[in-house]
Amino acid sequence: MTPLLSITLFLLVGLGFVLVNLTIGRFLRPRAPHPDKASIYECGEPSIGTNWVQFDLRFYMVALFFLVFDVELALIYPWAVVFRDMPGVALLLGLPFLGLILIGYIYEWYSGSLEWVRSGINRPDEAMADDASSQTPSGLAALARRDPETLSDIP
Amino acid sequence: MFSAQVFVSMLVVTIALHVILGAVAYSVMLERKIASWVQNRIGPNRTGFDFGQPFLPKFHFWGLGQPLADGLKLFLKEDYTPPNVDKVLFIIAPMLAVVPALIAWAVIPWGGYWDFPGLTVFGTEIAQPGMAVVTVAPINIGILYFLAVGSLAVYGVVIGGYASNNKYSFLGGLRATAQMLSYEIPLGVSILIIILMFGTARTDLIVLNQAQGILGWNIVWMPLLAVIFFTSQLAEANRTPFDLAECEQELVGGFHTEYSSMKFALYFLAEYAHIVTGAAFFTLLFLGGWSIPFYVGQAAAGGLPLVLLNVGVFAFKMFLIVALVMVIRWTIPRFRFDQLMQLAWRCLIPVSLILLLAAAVLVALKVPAIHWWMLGVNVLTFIGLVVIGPKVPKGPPVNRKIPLEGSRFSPLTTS
Amino acid sequence: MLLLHVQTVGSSEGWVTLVLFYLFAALSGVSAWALVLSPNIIRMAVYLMLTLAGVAGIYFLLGAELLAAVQLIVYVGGVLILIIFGVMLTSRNPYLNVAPRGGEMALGLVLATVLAVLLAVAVLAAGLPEAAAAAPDDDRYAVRWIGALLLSRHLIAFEVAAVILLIVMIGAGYLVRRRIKANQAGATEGRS
Repeated sequence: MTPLLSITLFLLVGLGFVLVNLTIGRFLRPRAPHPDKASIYECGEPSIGTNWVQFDLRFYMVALFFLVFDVELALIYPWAVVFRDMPGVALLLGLPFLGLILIGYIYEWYSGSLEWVRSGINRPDEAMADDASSQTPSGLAALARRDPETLSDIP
Repeated sequence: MFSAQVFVSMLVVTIALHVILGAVAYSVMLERKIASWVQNRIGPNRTGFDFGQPFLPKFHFWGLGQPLADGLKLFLKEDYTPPNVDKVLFIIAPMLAVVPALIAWAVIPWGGYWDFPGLTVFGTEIAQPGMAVVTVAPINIGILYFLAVGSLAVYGVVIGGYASNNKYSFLGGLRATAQMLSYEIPLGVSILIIILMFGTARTDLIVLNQAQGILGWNIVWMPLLAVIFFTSQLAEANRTPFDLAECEQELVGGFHTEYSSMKFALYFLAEYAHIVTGAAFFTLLFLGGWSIPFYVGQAAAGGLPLVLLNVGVFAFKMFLIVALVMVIRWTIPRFRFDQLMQLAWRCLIPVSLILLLAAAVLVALKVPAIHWWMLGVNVLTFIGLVVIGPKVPKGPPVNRKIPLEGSRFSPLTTS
Repeated sequence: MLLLHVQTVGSSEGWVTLVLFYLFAALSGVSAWALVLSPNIIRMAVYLMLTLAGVAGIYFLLGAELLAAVQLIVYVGGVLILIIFGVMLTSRNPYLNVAPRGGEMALGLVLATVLAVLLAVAVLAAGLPEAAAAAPDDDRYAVRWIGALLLSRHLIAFEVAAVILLIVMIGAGYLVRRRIKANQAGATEGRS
């Protein structure tokens, strides 16, 4: 338990460092509240709606797959540590374990779970494609909206 | 009174924390210097230790005062808490980011084994003589502790992103979480392979196993594994080319957009502490820790001079890795998020699993000269990757061409 | 109980153990209370994280280093993140505070009381080992020993775990595939 003591001391000293910095600075720092500072920072634009964007299922899936591999790793660590002591037995008994995980992984690959596909809900590009082709701006408006890099061909 | 190990541990706790914080501060300086070298600038070279005070000697010290001045500045800035944030979590989150990055250092064996002579002050024995590992905590699970603490690091990011009540922060937090989770798996598997090869998880024994000159180092025999570990470590630390959590062009500052002053400084500290931690673990796993290159007869244990030499060697290797990380930042452009996830899930994870299987079979067969076999497996896997990789069926196209005015795919500009 | 504990540990090392124990117990206890009393879901997750980390500290103190690491890696680093993501995925607005209604509160209280009584009975029936403080350096707790056990006596559990993980993966893959199909259908509808 002496290792734990030193780890805990390490942790407490680190935490103490953080807390001391946060609290001492409190008395030294200026306080200048301003209504503009209270707004949510979005590059100077006023914020629209809540910050609650639609959470994508993909992130959840990443966490789920991670959990599977995480549990697998946690289970296999003692196996790896003991491997040198009984290599034959450990290999024989570890192969089914690793094999099942590999089968699962291959299934995931073929089921397309590992692809980071765009969700179908918010797909602005198609709407934009229609938009761009139907209302092609003309004259000065078209000029104004063109890519600056292609402006050289303008007489 | 104290046993040798406890005394040495306490000593290391005291010294290590100071050295860490100093190293982290100066790694920011190093980053700026390297950036300026890469970009053909001079970089910070004016700030000495006088801080504009007339009574202090004016000398620039090649800009070495810059980190102190930066720290002081961050310390004295207004610490603004926006009104709409979740106040409790907003304050807790930076701490959750810093503390895991700091305590991961506890298992690093800095200087090998110290034949501690004991310490007696005024006739009172304070520490008994004995053999001690120069580390904070010589624990059996060793390297597993690094993974355990590393899995805590996600919280600082996801909670900070949530608590800020800002779209950029939230998106940055989500991205960072998904990224850190994904890259933890290849990281874990590569550590697992090292454990399998050496039959121990203790960090000091892992280093001792490699301490036979440069030919004992893992990076020589498992170069592919070293690359996998290094890449995952970069991603875990949210460093370029994997810094999607805070890419300034799309997310401003990512999860720390709303943070200011000391709380921002803590996030900053956490990022650099992560880099330094990652460098330390890369050193001990692949670069042979304290072992001196091209010198075989290095003593395993010794007195204070040997320990100091060992610490110096370890620190120098770490410095090289940190510098490499920084050069990479200014060399490789940022990945796209889907590329990032593909790299983890469809490249690093299967490759590391293949290497794990190969290592298990090789160890079980008790092949002679297993190092050469391992090198062969690494090289073959790499060749296989290069050959098979492009032939692997690709998924549906993710990056759709968006025909917006101003984009490369605009119907107006192409026609 | 406290006095009894102090009596059983005599040496200075015992005191260290005791202080560490109360430190980690306080961490998990206090954050468990905060978890129960907090109305905000994400805050609850953070408190739960602290509780689990405190329990990991106690495992470590008992010499079960591997268990402590697994607690951190799997529960704190995996399951809890999954829970947070699940909350973010399902709830319309996570800033909405959760206020339990009277009935729910009563049900929770009853369940908690039953669980507490059961745990107390189990603890008392088991009887605490007399030399608990002597355990940490015991070789039985070493990772090597657990590895050997996993490959002999608990082999079935080891392999069954792999099967369960495989099932989870297949289930998750099925979910994703259904979603991709739904997306493709949605995309073609949008196009027409």
